[in-house]
Amino acid sequence: MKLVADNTMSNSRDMMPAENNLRRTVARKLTDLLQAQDFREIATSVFEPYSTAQKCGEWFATRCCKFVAPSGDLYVLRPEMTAPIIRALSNRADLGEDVPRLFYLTNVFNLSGDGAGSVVEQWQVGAEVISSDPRPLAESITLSLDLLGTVGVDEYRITVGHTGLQMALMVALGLTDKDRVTLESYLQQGLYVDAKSLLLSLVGDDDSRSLLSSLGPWLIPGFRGGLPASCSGQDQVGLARLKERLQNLAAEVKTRLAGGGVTREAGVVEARPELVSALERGMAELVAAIDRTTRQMPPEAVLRVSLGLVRPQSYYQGLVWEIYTNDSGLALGGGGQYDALIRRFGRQWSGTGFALSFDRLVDLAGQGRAKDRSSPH
Amino acid sequence: MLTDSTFHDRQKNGPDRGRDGHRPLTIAVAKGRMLEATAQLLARAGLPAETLLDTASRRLVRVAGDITYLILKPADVATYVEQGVADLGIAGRDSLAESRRSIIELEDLGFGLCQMVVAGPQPSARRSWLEGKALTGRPLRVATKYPRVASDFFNQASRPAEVIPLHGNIELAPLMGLADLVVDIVQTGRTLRENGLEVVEEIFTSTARLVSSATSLQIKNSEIVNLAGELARAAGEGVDIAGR
Repeated sequence: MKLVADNTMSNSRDMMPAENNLRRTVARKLTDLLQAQDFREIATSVFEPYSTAQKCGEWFATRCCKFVAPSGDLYVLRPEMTAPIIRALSNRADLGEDVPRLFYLTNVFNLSGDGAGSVVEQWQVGAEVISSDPRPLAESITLSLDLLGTVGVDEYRITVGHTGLQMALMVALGLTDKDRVTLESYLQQGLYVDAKSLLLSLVGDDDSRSLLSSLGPWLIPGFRGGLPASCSGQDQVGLARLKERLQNLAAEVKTRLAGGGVTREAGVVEARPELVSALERGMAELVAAIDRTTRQMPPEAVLRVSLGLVRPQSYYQGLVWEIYTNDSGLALGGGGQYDALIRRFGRQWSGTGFALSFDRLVDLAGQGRAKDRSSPH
Repeated sequence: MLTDSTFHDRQKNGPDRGRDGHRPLTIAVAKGRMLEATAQLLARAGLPAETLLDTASRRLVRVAGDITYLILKPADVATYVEQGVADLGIAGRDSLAESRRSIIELEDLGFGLCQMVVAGPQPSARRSWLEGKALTGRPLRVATKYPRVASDFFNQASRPAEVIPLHGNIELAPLMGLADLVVDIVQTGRTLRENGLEVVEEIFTSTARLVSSATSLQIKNSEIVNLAGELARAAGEGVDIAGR
């Protein structure tokens, strides 16, 4: 009988003891930090019902590895962890409103984004804070940064956005519901050229032109040369300037929402006073998150505000963020508030969470950037 | 002189700020028909780009001041940018669309104009396209160098098709019965006409695009935004638009 080499599927790799030793060391640092902050580890099955992936939105439903079980039911290899955790918690009648703070360190599976059809196995570390308190928990952001500090990564960028503010901005600019969906799609795919064309098509008069110049850069970094609002860690002066810019933005958007008046080709856009309170709430959440985060960041790190940040997961509503390190062009990870996802599973909790690439954290630690830290600060 | 290995070390360790406090940038450029127009546009935007016009050199990494150029196949530009090896890239929308990489298209640079089209032999192609099937009734066979673009387009057009990936001389496929239609880029359309093919549908217009990664846009934000603005201005001044 001829022996046939049995290779693992592409992008899924076996790990030899030396590599595993480094991974265990990094994993221990991360889990020690999380457990010290009262997070408890959760694990879910690798196999998820396809319905779970569908609840995550089209991006996941089209990128997950599906298979049909002998029972005829459609399953996927879990493409991420937030939805499986919500699914698992939702099935527990004993939980009530008292949900523990949870973390995980495990593998997830997606089809490669280049359309080649290969299944990519990635390891992630993440945490979920789920509770009956509807206020978003900015501590999720600072926790994700603490994990970076644990493996010695001090130089990073973090972009923070807010989906509610994004919508308010788009409405103030006179976008219809259909336009907003289109613009969100362009922003999520990085098609800034198409996004700018769409915004420029709205210009009907000098007033609209002026409004676009003022608000456009908040959605598209670099729009008409405008740089995003940013602040370095521990920089009180920069933080004050950033808050001032946000206050000015809020005032301008509020005026438009309350009074209408943006001129489009189709005519003058109506006032939307019902969105003003959502705007104020969203801005308060964003400012609180920025305040807390910049105080914790090291001076080498920079926080930027981008209201055009659209994460692949369609279930985020409210605060969203992404983290970047210079070992790759792709984000290291990110998170956000996902009450909408929890509703899809029939529960009324509020949830905020994040996931970081554990594989990249191991690489960053192994590249000699790790310092021997026993505490995150 | 910066060798390929020192270039790689510089990337890994993080470049220091160069003169004027600006950080160095690495720009991936597509070799081939767009390289000369790319170099001219970069020069118009104030960047040192003469090194790109040195056709005698086979060097793939060329350093000019604070700019490092990587000369790549068009299909690879998006990959180098997505992975963070290059901060910026300049390539045609056609190759970027086919690559499916997670990158950000910052600016339309206006040159390298062509159309991505569906074409086929006269007179059968138009009927095949309209009816969504071959003349014999079977599903369409579509030959192309852009299988992902073609698959997406035919799916969205609700026309079932078998996509046949090829690497060159796409026009030959329908002439020899390998395919009913082709998806390919056209500039003047002369090659299609001379081979008895006609365009039956336009998919999109392709021009050169400036792209970046999410990370580079964050880490070198001011440099990239300013350069993108300069390139957009230079492109708006009509540098090599259409036909190049």
